[in-house]
Amino acid sequence: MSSVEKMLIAEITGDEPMLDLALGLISDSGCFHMENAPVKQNMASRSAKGDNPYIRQMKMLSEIAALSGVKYGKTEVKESAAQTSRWVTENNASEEIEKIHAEISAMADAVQSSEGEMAIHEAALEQISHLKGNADQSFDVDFAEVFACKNLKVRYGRFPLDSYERLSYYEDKDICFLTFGEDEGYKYCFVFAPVEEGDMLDEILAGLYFERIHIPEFVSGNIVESAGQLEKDIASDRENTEKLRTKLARYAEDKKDFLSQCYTRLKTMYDLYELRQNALLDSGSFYIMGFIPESNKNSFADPFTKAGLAVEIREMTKKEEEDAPVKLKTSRFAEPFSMFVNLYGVPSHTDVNPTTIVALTYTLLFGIMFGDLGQGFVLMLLGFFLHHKNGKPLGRIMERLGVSSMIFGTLYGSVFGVEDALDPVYERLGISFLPFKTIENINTVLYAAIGIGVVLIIISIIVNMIQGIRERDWARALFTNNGLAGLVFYVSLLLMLIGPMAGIKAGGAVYVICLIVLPLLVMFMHEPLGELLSGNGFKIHGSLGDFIATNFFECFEYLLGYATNTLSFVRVGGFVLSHAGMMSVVLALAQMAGKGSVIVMILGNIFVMGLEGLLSGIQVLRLEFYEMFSRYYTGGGKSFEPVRIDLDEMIE
Amino acid sequence: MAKLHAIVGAKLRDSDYHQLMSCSNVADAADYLKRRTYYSRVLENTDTDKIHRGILENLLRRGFYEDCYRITNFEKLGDDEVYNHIVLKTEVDEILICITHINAGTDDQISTIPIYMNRYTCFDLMELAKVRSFSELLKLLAKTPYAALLKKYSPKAGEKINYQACELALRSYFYERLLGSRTAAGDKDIQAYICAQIDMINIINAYRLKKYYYADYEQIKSLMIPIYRRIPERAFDQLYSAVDSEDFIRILRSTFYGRKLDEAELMKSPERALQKERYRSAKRSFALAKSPPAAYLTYVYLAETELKNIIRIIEGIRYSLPVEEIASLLIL
Repeated sequence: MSSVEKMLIAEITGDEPMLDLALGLISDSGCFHMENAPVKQNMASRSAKGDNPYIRQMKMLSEIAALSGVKYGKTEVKESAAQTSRWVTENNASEEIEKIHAEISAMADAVQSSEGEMAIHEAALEQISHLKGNADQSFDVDFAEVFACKNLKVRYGRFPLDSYERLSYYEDKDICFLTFGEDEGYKYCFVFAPVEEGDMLDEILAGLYFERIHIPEFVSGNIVESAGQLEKDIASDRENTEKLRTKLARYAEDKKDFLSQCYTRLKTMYDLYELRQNALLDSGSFYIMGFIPESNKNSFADPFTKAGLAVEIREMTKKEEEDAPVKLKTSRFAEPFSMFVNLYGVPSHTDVNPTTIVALTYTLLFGIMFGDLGQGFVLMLLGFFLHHKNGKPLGRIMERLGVSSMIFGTLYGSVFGVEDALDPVYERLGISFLPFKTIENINTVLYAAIGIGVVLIIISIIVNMIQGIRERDWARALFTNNGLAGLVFYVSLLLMLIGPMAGIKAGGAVYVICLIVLPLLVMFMHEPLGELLSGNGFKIHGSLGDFIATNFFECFEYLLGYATNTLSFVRVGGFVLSHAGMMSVVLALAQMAGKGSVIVMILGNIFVMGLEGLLSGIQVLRLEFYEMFSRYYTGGGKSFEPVRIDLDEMIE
Repeated sequence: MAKLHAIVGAKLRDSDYHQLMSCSNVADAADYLKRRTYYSRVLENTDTDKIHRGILENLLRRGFYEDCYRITNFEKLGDDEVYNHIVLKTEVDEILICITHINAGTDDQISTIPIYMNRYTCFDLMELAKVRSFSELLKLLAKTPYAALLKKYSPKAGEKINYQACELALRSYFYERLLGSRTAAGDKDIQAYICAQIDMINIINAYRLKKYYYADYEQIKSLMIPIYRRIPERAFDQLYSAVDSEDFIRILRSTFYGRKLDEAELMKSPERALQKERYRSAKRSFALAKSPPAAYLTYVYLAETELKNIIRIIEGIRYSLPVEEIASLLIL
């Protein structure tokens, strides 16, 4: 069983001017989980954190990246904090960044202004485009002339269609409506009225929810002329914008190397300065405290000592142990499965690390449910590709699941859903009991699934007992439903119910009283019994009535839990059968397709792999979390996160 | 029936009302209705970003009529009063709105009139919006049954039209036509529903008259729809004779409807409690409806109430009312 790595406390002290050097060494070590340094008694301590002096430059670099679209190269710089600081000064980095920022801002403003011009022209074109109407009715009058009319009130805008239907109401008024295009529930139109009726016109239009559109003064000529002019303006704006953009991009590209170097160094200095918030200053000295894994004990102190800093590495106190971060120690095979464990919760220092159990059971159950030599191979290839493309744990998990699926696929004799593909191979090898035809052995598959469930539940209870013993929590180890009492009860009950099928005779009054009733009573009394073993006497919390009622229902829940958790594993068998069933449908469709059978087989396999692969993955995770973790794992820890410079994080 | 249940099933839920009330402006509320509710159909071609409150209300109202049309297809169902009652109700409502405008001397009925119903109504709605006097109204309605009903309420020169009397005449006519229709006459459920609704309308109106106008028995009695169902006429007479609004509520508590009212709501706002009970009773009737016409009749009331709720919310948002205040105005 994998475990968690032992942690030690490392305390670093030195003269205040050497704080930045110390923080740089901490970042270089890659194994220091920094904590807030505790204020010691009788110390006039203060936090070392002030306003970060690099924030202005970092913000400017972020703005430059956002405005120009340039992506900084993020190569880590291997130099000391002092060297970094010197580089920044020698290269006038701050002034240069400011200069580049000003240049790029001006260029970006020019781009924005040109885009704004284009937007105005596009909006004007969009507004007048509704006036094109159709061949019979288009607005063939100069806009300037229309709006210059002295005796006419002219309004251009749009009505909701609902209001448009009401226009005939105003037939007897001196109002003329000239309607044109229709768009998004609105009708566009020109409205004319004698100038003396202007107030009446606006009142009527308001009642009809008329939305006035102002045609810009630069639009002149009739609709065809003005639309043509606007199109030309837009094309010119677009060209101009493109030129300005190219100029900006070229300038940013020219400066990219220098900016990247600045970014890497300044981000390092920024992050290191941020670490100061965890350091304490006292009478010209600094004090830093954190956790390191025991395996780094020997190598960690050297660089600090050489630089003249004092490092003390010691065992954790009981209190520190509770707050210690957790670094999981797992095998290469199990390591990617820590993703699932962390999803549930990081194990605490006292917890059993369940990663190996999860890795083994997950791989096994998935392989059983998704057993197919061909599909498993594809899954493995897909995992391999993902693993090497982005290095995420999911790809590595898929590699393992693919292999498991291939193994069980070989046992089932299934290749891309063809259930008899391996029959000749087994015949030639003279193995008569293989392949195991799942669809012909439905009962066996379902019983086996429940059998696997029983074994996994028993393992979970045993792990919980070990955990209880390690923590000296006797009630947990001995008296609960996931302790010794629960184990005796569960196994005895199973033997009594299923034993006769296997020729095991279990039963009788003594058997029932000692191995079923007594453990049940112990589970009922687990609280006071636990208190008794802890030396606190036989103590019941709350009233006797509450105690009986609560524990009665809890025991009832335990009984239900044993039954439902065991039966829950039937799904493993269910998926074995559904896989075979779905693939038989694909085969039948392929046979019907005649010449297109290959395509049907490929599409069918993709569909089954996508659907069932996903479902199997989710269902196994559910079994892990609900049927197993709920019995032995709490996961209230905090993960080990060594100090590092995060070059991907931009400072906005 | 199944179609109606499907439509009602898609109506707004409490969570939708809550989300709508939480919107900070009308555009957000319109956007929520468009993206997350049954009203997406009505608003699909509408740019909700800058929508005017009035346009939104008109669109929603139109959507309500279109739904009714889709369900019944007025033209095909011809003269069946139950399926056609929405047309009859529109006619009555618009005539009453017109009377209100004549009395107030205003002329903007055109902005809210459901012009899309013009092809179904027995008079021209566009012409109704142009009416400026009672005589013009009678002239427009000359060839309809409404002229005979309203003629006797012609005001003397310089006097206002007796709105209450006109309303009573028109509403009574509406319910008599509905109850007298072939479908309703042969369906006890429909009759029970319509009469229960009339009972509730009478109680609400009587309470208003007692509370705000200190009306006496005679005044109230003369303005009530003379159709009785769950509460006998003498019990109504007792209510009308109440000394004041508090006495009215005390007597109401002992009646069939009074016993169903939510006591907390009754203490807070008796009128709202009565309206909510009317809504609940329609919901019950819809759930228990055995025939399509009965289900349709109750559906129309439920849909109309929902529409009014949405309009209250939109107005509440427009006038920046607190969420609690808007919530207190809703009939749920």
